Amino acid sequence: MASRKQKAPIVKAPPPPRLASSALAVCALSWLVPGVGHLWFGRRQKGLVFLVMLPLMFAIGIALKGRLFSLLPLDLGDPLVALAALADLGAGLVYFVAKGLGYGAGQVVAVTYEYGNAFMIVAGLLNSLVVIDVYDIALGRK
Amino acid sequence: MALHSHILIMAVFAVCVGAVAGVLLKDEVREQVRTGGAIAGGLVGMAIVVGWLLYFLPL
Repeated sequence: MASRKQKAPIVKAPPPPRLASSALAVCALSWLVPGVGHLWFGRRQKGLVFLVMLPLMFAIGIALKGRLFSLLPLDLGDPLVALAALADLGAGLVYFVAKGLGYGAGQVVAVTYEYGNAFMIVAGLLNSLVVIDVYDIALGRK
Repeated sequence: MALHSHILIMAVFAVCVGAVAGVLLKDEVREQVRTGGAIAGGLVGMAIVVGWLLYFLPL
């Protein structure tokens, strides 16, 4: 019986799971504490700016009597609140610390209420962009 | 709190966003300052322009 040599199909190897998992771990750390991911990868200047500016924006939002939105109880009738809560959560650890300490109740009658909301929501969204940047750095894309 | 002025709050917000976005988008300090300044200036400028446009709209 004639034996035929079969070539093994060329399969592109996926990225090593360790690299992907460690990148996700650094991203999680960077989400919790803004700028830590950049500091981890030696981008000191960027890391320090994020470490100072993002919690500062969040603190200004609380000082302006903004409200920390919560996902729970989930109210599908008010999707903007859920979206604002997701954005607020992007700020990471400061969100939970502020919640735990009882800040962020929000004063709807305060003139600065909406400004406070804007500061906290944008701080969370900017931190989400920072986390995405960390992921790109971790995978060697930047 | 000292932040009672609407325009001051807006300027602080624009500077914060400009600083973070500039540092995030660019790698060199000079470019970061330029980009951050452009973003901050654009935010404040656009707010003033839109504010004046709204002023002429009847309530």
